[in-house]
Amino acid sequence: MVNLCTNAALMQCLACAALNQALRSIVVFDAPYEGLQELAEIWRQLLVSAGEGPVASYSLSTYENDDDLWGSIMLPGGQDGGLQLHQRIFSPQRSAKELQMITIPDLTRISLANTRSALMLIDSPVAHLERNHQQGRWQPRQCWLASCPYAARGHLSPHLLDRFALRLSWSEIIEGISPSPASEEKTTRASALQTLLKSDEINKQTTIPEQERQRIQEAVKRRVAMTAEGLERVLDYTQPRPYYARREIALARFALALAQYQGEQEMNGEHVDAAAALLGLRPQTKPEEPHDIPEEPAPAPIPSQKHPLPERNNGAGPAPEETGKETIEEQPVREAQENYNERISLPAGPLCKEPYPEDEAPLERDAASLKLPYTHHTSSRTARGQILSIEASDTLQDLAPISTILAALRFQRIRGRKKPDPLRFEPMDLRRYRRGTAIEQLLLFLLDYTSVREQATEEWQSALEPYLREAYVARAGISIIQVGNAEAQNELRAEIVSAGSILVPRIGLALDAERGRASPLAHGLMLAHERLQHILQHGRETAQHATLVVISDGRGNIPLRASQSGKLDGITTRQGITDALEVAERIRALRRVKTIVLNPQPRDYQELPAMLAKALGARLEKIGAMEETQEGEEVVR
Amino acid sequence: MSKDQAEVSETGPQRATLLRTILPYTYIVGQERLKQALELAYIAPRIGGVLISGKRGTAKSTTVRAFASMMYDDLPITIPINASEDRVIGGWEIKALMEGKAAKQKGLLQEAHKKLLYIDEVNLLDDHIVNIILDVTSTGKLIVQREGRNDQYDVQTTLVGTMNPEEGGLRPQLLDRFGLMVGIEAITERDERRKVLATVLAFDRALAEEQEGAQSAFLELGHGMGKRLRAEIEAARARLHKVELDEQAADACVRLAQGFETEGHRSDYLLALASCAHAARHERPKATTQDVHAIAELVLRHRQPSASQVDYALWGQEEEQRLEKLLKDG
Repeated sequence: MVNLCTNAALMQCLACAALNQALRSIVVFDAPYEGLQELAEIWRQLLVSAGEGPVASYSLSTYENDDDLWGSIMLPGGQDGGLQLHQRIFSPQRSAKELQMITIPDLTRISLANTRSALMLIDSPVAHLERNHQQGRWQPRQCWLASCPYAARGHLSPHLLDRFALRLSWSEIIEGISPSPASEEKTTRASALQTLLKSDEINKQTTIPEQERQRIQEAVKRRVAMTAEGLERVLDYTQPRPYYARREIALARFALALAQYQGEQEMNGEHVDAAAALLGLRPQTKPEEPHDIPEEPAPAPIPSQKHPLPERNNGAGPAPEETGKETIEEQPVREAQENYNERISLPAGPLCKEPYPEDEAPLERDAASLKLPYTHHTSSRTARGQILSIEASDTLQDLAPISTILAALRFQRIRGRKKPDPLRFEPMDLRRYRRGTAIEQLLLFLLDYTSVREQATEEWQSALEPYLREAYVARAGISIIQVGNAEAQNELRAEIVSAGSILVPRIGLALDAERGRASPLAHGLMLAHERLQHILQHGRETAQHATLVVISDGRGNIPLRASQSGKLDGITTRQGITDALEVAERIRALRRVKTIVLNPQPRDYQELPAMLAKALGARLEKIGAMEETQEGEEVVR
Repeated sequence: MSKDQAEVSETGPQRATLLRTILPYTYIVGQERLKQALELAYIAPRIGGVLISGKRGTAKSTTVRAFASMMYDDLPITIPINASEDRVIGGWEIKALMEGKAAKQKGLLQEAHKKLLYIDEVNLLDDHIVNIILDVTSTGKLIVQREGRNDQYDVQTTLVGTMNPEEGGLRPQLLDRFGLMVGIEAITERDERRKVLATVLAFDRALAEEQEGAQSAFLELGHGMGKRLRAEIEAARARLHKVELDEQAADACVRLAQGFETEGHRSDYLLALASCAHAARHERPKATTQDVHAIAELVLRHRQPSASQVDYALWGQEEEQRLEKLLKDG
């Protein structure tokens, strides 16, 4: 087990977040579950040492809905047998009693209710509860600690991510851990396993050093003044375009907290440099002379100005595409840091090399990902899709029985019911589940990029348009299997990209992939088979039918075994083609799948597309002409 | 009902504590357009409200809360994005129900009568709740016909919504309910950024002082200035009915509505009303084309044909030039 307390930079960072309540929202990229728990425990102890009182821990996951988080009417276990408004995590009463440590093991996979709650609460001075007869407003007292896979950063809403004041990276945290004397001895993996299996090692709770406790207890009593120099230095670290005020403010607060932690009376430029170094920030502009500003600014003058309008600018606002990639001369941070180091020892950092990856992350998230999904059902089977919440109903379809009973219980006395008479229900008591979108149809493309000429990109993409249009109208889910993608992680393997609708940006990116060298067609067909099996047969949320569109010349030159092992033994032979046809036969056996092969009309081995279509039981069409061949037949079971 | 029920009665000191966490309105740096829109909507409630659209971290919510605190001595009546229908429309008090009594509970719409009704992240609000709000704000009537209730109330409220357009648009019907729209642009000038930073840090310090039991001079000064500003705005509201719209200004309103191809007659009426409110704010007895020019963007921005999705509710040089031309043509 690693001892995170030996990372001095990390301890400083968590201590600052304990000292300043505006810094109590931290995202850690790539933190494993156990690592996140340990960070939470260290932070909790620092908060307690800082005098914040009892800290209650909660974890948000993939399934909570609004009632789970904000409370609802429940049946209690008490003697009176009546109903009770059940408090949950977010309530004024809990907030008054405890400081809440809320951990999120994976920010990209929490439920929509969790995401929306985080949006309402993080960095907000006031929380509002207006649900299920409950009403309240209070000042939230919460610490948020979330893990987010760096590779999935494009799936997150920047609107949510912006609310997190501090960004750390697990790999940088681990790098900064000092080796313990015991670990410096040579140990074999076998002896390390033995140590790990000892119960006291597994259950050992992290305890922060007593020195840290005392340090933070002293720091809490201190107030640090901001200097003009410090203020000016903060401005050097933030890009003017695009400008996000929270980043600048977070850096300033962090620098103030760092000075407080270090026992200083004032926050100056050196503290800002040190804070920026810890956070992985680099200055964007040359340092300017500090302006002579008052310590506490006066309020804006009134009446005589009557809100003069700002000068008109050319644009209507910053365009979304602007990423602030201006050529700006960078100033080395090290120079300022060395001066600082002379006085105060600066632990190694940074704790995150790329604190704001969302600025250049690929756009992979769903459009309007923070909204409640539209309900759109084309079939009579509406009781599908993940349950998001409960809503009033005027039908008996998809009833939520417990919620309906609880709704009726409120009025039993008024309705004159006496025990043990049965409950009296009225139509207004009916409640149903509000469900997320369930995929009822699937459009699956298998795109063999090596089989189409680069010059013909427009042609083959046009051939896909009718299917995309149909998928859009039907609100179908979509998957794209990429065969022979130049940017595949392993060129011997196909890859799959899936989304709930064709409007998701990563689908467009997947269509525009470039041609690689290898054609793992058999592997691509295998992925198609698995996907179809899953969506048509697995679980409650099965789709009604699927459309598989294949663009390939049938010349798979990578055997399936090579794709599975990731290594190619010897030269490629016909094995790849044979494997592809075998897998195609398996797809043919699936029900409720309509399959079309779009023939790129290769110059060589012209019979292969037809062979592939026959194995798939597919209709064969030419790209561009969209004509049915005489041999091909439409296969819809 | 058990003792642990989650019904909350807010005390005076609790409310005061909450209000002290809001930065005084007079300390908000920049955002002159937004401040103007909020003040006009207060001066002339028939304007119907303000939609504030801007990217993350642009002080939208901060300004609205600060304005409400100053003008109403309270936080705005807020509809959170997960509000349930019973809290929006109104229902029964659950505690009384459990005891076999029927006591009505006011909903947020009723509580917002003659006040400011605020929806943060309005584009994330449940469609069902949006429909309710649309209905009430267009008719001015709240009809509660649910759970055995059959009541009707007059509701006049100033609706204010904030949103980040990156997270999705707004339905055109809801867009139209907002009399004015402000597009917030991020501050990029170094001087302004410095002021923002200094203000935020000074406010942090003031809050810390108050938590320690001291009274913050910074906050006292800010609230004091706020009282004077409030008196001015209230005076403007009182004299609104005396402000006349001169003929040229009236023609300009009609020309602008036609020139920007807005639908219906609501646009020219709102232009006229907002112009009068602007004149009242500046202590002038007549609203002229100068006033029309000052407020035109706020009214027309989201009523252009291209603005059916808020993402496209743009106002740039082209729109400014068209505005100038239309005003000159008179």
